[in-house]
Amino acid sequence: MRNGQTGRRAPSHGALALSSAAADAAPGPASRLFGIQAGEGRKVALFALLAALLQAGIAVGVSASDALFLTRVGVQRLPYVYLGILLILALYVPSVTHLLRRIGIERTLLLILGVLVSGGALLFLGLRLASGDWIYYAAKLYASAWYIGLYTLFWNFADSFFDIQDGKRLFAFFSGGSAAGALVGGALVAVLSRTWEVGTLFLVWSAFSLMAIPVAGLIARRYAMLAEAGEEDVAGQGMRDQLRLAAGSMHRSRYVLALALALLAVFFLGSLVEYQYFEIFSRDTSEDELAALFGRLFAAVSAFNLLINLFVFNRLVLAFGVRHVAMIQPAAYLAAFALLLLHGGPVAAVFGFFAVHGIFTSIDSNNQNFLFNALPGAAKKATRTLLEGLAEPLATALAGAFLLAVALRFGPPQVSALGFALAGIHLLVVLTLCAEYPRSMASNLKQEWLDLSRPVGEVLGNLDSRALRIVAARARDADPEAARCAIRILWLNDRALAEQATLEYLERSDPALLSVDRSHVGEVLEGADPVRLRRLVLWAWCEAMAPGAPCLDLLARHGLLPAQLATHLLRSERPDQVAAGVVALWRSWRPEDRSSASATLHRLLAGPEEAWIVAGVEALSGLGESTMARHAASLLSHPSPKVKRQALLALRQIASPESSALVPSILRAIREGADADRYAGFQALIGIGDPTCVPPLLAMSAHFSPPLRRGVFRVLQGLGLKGVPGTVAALRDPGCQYLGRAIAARSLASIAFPQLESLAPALIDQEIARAERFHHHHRLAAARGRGSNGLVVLGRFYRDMRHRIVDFILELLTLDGRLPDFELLSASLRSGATKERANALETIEHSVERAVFKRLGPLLSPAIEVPSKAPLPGLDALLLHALDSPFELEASAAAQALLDARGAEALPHLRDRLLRPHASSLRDTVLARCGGGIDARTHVDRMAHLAAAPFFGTLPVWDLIGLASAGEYWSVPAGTALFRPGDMPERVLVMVSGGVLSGTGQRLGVGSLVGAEALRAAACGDWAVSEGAELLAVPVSAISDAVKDSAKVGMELLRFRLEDEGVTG
Amino acid sequence: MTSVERLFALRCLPLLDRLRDAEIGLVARACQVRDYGSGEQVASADRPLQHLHVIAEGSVEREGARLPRVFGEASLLLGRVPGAPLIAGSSGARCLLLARGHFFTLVNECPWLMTTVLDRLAHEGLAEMGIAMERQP
Repeated sequence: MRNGQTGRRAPSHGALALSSAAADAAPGPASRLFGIQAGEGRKVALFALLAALLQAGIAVGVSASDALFLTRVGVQRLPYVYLGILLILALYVPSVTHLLRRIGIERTLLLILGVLVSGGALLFLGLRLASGDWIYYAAKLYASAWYIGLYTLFWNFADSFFDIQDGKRLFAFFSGGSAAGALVGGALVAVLSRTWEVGTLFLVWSAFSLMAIPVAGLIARRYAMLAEAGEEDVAGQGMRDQLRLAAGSMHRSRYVLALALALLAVFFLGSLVEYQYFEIFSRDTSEDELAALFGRLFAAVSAFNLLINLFVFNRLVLAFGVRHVAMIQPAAYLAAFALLLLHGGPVAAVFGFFAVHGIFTSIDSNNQNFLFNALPGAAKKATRTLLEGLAEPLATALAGAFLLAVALRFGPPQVSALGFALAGIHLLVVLTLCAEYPRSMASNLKQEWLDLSRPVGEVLGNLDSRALRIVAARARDADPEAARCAIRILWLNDRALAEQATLEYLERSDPALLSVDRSHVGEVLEGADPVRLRRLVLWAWCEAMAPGAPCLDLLARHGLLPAQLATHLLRSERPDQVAAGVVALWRSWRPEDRSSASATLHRLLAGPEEAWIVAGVEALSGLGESTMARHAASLLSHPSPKVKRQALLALRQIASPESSALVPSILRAIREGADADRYAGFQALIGIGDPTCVPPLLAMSAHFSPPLRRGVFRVLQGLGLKGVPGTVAALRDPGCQYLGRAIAARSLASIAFPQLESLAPALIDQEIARAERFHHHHRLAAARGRGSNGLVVLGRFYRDMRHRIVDFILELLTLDGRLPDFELLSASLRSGATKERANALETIEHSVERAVFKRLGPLLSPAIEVPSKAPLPGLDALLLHALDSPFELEASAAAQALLDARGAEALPHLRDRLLRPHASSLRDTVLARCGGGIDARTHVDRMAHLAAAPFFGTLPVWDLIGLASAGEYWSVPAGTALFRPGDMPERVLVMVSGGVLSGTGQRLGVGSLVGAEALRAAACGDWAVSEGAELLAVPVSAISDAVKDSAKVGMELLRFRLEDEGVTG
Repeated sequence: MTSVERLFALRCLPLLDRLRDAEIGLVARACQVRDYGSGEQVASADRPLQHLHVIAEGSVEREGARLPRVFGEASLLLGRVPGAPLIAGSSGARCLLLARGHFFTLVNECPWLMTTVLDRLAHEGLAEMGIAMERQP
């Protein structure tokens, strides 16, 4: 708990101090040398001074209290102090936590400084006036508690004023201030103890604390704390909740257990070493000499820590990794105990002192920050808070108890020998910890990611008996939706319970609702025990007599419809009943039944009414014969959407691996169909299991909504290893759309993770290079874009593609188990909050290799210049190159830009390209451009006009594509009223040219929105009258559709509405 | 509260009722349960929430007005602040908390959720969604 009851340790710093984030700051001499930016100097100096004053006081106080205790009470009583620290911290931690929540960090710090001023003075007086050993105990406990508490408090305070990226540049200076303060304090003790009584040194501590008050006050007054959200909810968990969470986490994860043991061991052994060197130092030494010795040691160890923090620690971590650095402390303890055992003199004591106050403070404690990152997700914060809060006092108290039991019976050599053995065990614990670290880190990151594509059985299967009891109870819920959900969960866990629940549900439910429960009935019919099956059949028979009987076809499919009834059904007026009769008689043993079923099926499929054909296709699927799949597929080109959908549903039932020839027809139906058709098509593809569907399916998935893309993912899952070659090809193909490649990556992560692991580094490298290229292309197009809609759209395409590529890279890193949820990181990187952006950058920096971050970092932060390795092309070369792009929008925007710039001269470059497949957008653009008049407006023009308007301008180009397609140009003569007060606009209008006058006399110019109330689902409050204008009208329904498919559109619409409401925040 | 109890508490919300069983099961597993005593502060006035809050039991109020069962969407998506402290009602509140990262994933993977959020904004207004009403200068 050296670092904190609030779960925040001092950030690591040092070699990473000169962060890339500062690279574009105005480079003054200080900036170049120390990474301090303009205007930061005073703030940094104040914090460094505060750190120095606090640490100087600590060095003085700890030296004095140690010297007094060891000489007046004796080292043999030290174990009682160790036990007492537990009690003191048990009071201190909740008190400070409470204060932090009630009055904030600034006032808490000022209050504690006040306590230190008066505490030092009281101790000084107490040492003069009081008699007995209690005052030395009090002094030792007081100094030990603040040694731990002030450290945490200062870093929490500093952390409130600097984000992580700034912290990495600047916290090294505060560590430097701390070390310098300790150095001064130690030197002061060494000098003053020659002339002053040791007790007087507590007044010096008071004086340092008094000097720190105005510094802390000045910081609090002059500088604003960073707004950091989020601590409000989980931080407030009670100790009992935290204990429960942490205990559960320890029970489930070997890593947590190993980390807890390692922390306990490190503090336990630290106390043993301290006891041993105290024993050596206090041999035949006076109080003054001891105080002077501690002063010198503090000064020396502070200089050591400063050097390690500034120049060594981060290099160590980068060179050897977190796991190897974690071995340094056990090795240091082994060496310390070996020296104490074999040598037992002052050299061993000094080494022990450095192991505890040097190596631990500057290396192990910093490294623990990284180790805590691998704690399992849900209980991470609670576990960390608990471990940090309890480990040190608990281990110190345990050491006290151990020393009372052992040290008083045996001599120092025996204690050292035991210490050596325990340090060996500590090493073994750390080795276990290191072995578990990467596993825990990867599984933790994957668990934290809300991967909605996980199969239902994995999520809701394997419930324990308690959960199953709850679900079974919910299956009897009066709410049919809840009951059905519960029954579905029961089917995944306990067949008998599910059958029972299904029967109970069917028997009590309204028959009108039962059509949605066919799958449950089917499940029971598939394999229920005879008693339940009989009960179901009886129920179904009762229902079968009713008009519109549910599940009639299911009974027919399972041979439970008597031939007599089936024959009767063939003469029904209702096509669904006829279909059920066909299915039942198809299975009859009598040839004449089968013959009449065949004739009736033919009659159904011949139509001509749509309902009869649909019923015929349904009957086809009920026959369950894969040979019928070809017939069903022939109906995929039927003009009726209902027939097509039913054909896909039939194929879902009857397509088999023998139906490979049908894959192209199914893919076409998926491409052209509605969402429900597509899901049915996916099922059919899974049934066929032909991997040739993978590349076209991934290519078309770029136009799908996220839920549909998860459907494509399930197809790839269904194909299993067969689909891997096609998936790998799509993932590696830079011509494939990114959304398709992302599905490929997710699929590989799930089916063939080693493949993804081996592909990822090269892919990331290739994509970073592409993003760098697109960044420079964007700048070039944006700089020259005025006057050409082609260049405007091209510039936005490159800008948005850069973001998309970055998202793709982050997703790859997430799938690879190196990053947490990339969606949050992606959103945070584009957030307006500095600290949020910095935190996201920090997370990424710590998760990827240094070389990767060096290239990726500039693409993540808009403030950093992206370096260019290759010479940048000119605009003409860029446009000609873009004409061959696999992305249709890039090619068509480039074609338009080329035509704008060169007119007819551009045609020779375009002619050949027009004939290529997948160049429809390019063709449309060129043909429209070469036409003239109002028809010369292209899709690119529409996108450029939308991009210039509020709300639409915030959307990425791929969201504008659909909206632009839905838009149409209106030429409105002067004096025409576009909207009247009270109108509910069905379209939002973007001004392309001319003007519109509002009722308040405001003149709306090019790029303005007219009827923006449409975006707020509100009525117009004012007139809008044309002064002669050309407008691009976008239907509200198109915007609503876009919201359903793209989260970005929804978020920007929300932002637009809130900003319009003038919401603060 | 077990994860299946959380699942049933979540599945009846208009915001989430279109999710598939597996999806809502995952959301339920990702949620933390937090109990607030009567009058306890659920969120401060000047900081954006970091979790989507779903009230499973009890109530949460903003300036005496009850908040709906789900709040925090606009705060999570756009960093808006409540503008006034959000306080647990007289019988306290048991909330399911969905972390911001998970909510982002959910919105990205199920964009139609935004339709529900926008509808709520249109019909319930800002204060009912737990957002500050003050006008910008």
